[in-house]
Amino acid sequence: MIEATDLYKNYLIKSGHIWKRKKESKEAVRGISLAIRPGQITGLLGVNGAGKTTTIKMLTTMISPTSGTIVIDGIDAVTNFMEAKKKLNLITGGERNIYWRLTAVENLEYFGSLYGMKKAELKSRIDEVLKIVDLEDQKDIPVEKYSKGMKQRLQIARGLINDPAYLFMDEPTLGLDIVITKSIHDYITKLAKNENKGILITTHYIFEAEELCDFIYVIDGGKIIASGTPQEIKLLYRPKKRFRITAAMLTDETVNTLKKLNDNDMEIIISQESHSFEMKTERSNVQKIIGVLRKHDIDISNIETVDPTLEDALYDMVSGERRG
Amino acid sequence: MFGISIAVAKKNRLIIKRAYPWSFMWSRVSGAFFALAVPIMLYYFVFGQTVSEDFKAFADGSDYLNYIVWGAAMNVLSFSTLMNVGRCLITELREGTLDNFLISPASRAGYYLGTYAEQLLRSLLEALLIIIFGFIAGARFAPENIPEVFVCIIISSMAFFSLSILVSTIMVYTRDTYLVQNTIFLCMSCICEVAFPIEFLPGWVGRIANIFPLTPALTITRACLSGTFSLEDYRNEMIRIIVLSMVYFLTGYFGFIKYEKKLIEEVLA
Ligand SMILES: Nc1ncnc2c1ncn2[C@@H]1O[C@H](COP(=O)(O)OP(=O)(O)O)[C@@H](O)[C@H]1O
Ligand SMILES: [Mg+2]
Repeated sequence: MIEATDLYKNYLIKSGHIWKRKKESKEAVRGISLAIRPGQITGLLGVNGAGKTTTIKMLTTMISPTSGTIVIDGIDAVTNFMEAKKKLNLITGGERNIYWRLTAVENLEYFGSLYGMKKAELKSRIDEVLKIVDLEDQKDIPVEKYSKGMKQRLQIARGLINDPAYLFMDEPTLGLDIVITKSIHDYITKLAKNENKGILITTHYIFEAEELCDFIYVIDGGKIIASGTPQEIKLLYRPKKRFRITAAMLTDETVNTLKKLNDNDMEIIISQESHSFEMKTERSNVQKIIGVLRKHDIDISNIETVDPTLEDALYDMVSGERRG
Repeated sequence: MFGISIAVAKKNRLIIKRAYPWSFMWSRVSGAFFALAVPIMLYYFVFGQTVSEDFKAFADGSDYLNYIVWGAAMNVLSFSTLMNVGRCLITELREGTLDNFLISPASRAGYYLGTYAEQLLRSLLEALLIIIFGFIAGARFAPENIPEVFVCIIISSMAFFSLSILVSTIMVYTRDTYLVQNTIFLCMSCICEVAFPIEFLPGWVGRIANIFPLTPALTITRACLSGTFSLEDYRNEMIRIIVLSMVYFLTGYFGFIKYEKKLIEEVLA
C-alpha cells in the first residue's frame, strides 16, 4: 500500500532580472493525504490546475514534497527514493515519450535496461507485457507506423516493463476518441484485477473516474474536498436541474433583462443559432423567466428538463467549496 | 552503469541508422574538406610551398601541410564529439523522450558514456577521411609515429567528451542549441591553432584558446607526428588536458544532477 500523509508542495517561482530578483512561492498542493491499495484503481479527480500532476510527481518521487510523508510498502519514498522508484512507474497521455523509429521490442528493451534488467529476464518480460496490451503481432514494426491507439497501448506496456507494484497515470486518455478511451479503460481494469497492480489515475473527466475507479479523491486548489466510492461521491451533492427553453430569437434587451433575474443560483447559457437557451436553476425561477419572455412577446416553442451531467456536479461541488 | 551505456549506445545506433543515414556526417566532412582545400591550393599555387620563418618556429616541428591537415582532422573530431554528445539530452528533451529516463533510477554517467561510445567510431571515421584527403594532397608523416599519434587522439577524444558534458548541461539549461554550438565552433576553429599558430594572435586570445582542450590536444598530436614528443617537454600540455577534462566533466555532470529536479518540475506537465 502507498500511504501519503499531509503532503505540501510550494513551487518557488523566480522572476525579474539579475539586479532585482523576485521570489514568489506557489502553493500547488496543500495538505493532501491519500492511500493507494494493490488491486484497486484510485482516482484523483479535479479541474485543470487543481494540483493533480504535482501530487503524482511527488508520489512517483520525481520531486520532493515541501513537507509530508510518503510510504510505499514500508519504504520511505521521500528519503529512500531510488529504492521506491523500482516499485513504480508512470504512464502519461500523448504519443511522445517513445522512440518512433524503433520497434515496440526495441523500445521496451531500452526502457527495461533503464531499470537494470538483464537480457533473459527482459526478454520474457517484454513478451508478457506485449501480450497484456495485445501488441504481440506488431512487435517488430517501427512505432511510427502505429495508430494512435497502438502507441497508447505501447505506453502502457512501457509503464509495466519493470513490473511495478504501483502504476501512476496522469490523464492517460486526454484527447483520445471514445473508442480508444474505452479500450484503454479495459486495459486499466485488467491491470488492477488480473495483475493486482495498485493504480492511481488522474482525470478531469468525471465519467472516467466513475467508470473506472474503486475509490475517488476529488481535489481542488491543492486540497482534497471529497472522497469516497463513486456511489458515495454521487450522493455527496445534488446538482441543480437544467432546463432547456427553446424560443424565438432573443433581443439584447431580453437577454439583459434575463441576466438581471440572474441571482447567484442561476446560470443561463444562450445559444443564438439554435434559438434556445439553457438554464441551470431551481424550478421556481422557470416561472420568472417565462414571465419575462411573455412580457417581451417572445414565443416559447419548447421547455424540457436536461439531466445534469457529472461535469455540472463537479462544477457545483467545486464552486460551492470555493465560496464556502 | 555499463548496462545503461550499452542500452543507450544500441538505441542511438538504431535511431541514427534509420533517421539520417549519412547526411550529418557528410555535411561536417565536406565542410572541413573545403576549409582545407583553400589553404592547400594557396600553399601550392600562390606561395610556392614556402612559409615564413615565424611559422616554422611556432609550429612544433610540423610542416605546413601536416599542420593544417591535422588541425582540420582534430577540429572535426572535437566538433563531432561536442555535437553528438552535447546535444543528446536536449534532443531527447525536445522530442519528449527524456521523461522516462528522468523517472528511472538509471545511472546518468552511464547514459553519457553510452552516447559517447556510440559516436566514437563515427567521429574517428570523419577525422580519418580528412587525413586521407590530406595525404592525397601531399601531407606525409613517418609511419613509426602512428601508435603515439593514436594514443594522442584517444586522450584528446576523452577531453572533448568531458567538454561535451558541460555543453550538454548548458544546452539543457538555456534550451538553446544554435547559439551555443555556433559560438563554440567558430571560436575553436579560429583560435585553437587549427589553421595557424596562436603566437600570431594577441596574447589574450591565446589565453582564451587555452580553455579549450583542442589547443593542447593539437600541440601534443603534432609533436607526436614529428617525433619530437616527450612527456618532459610537453608536461604542461598533458596537465592542461587532464585538468581541463576533470573540470569540464565535474561541472557538467554535477551541474546536471543539481538542475535535474528543477527540470522535472518544469517538464512533465
Ligand atoms: N513548475 C511549476 N512552477 C510553478 N508553478 C507550478 C509548476 N507546476 C505547476 N504549477 C502550478 O501549480 C498548480 C497545480 O498544477 P498541476 O499540479 O499541474 O495541476 P493539474 O495537473 O491538476 O492541472 C497550478 O496552479 C500550476 O500553475
Ligand atoms: Mg496535469
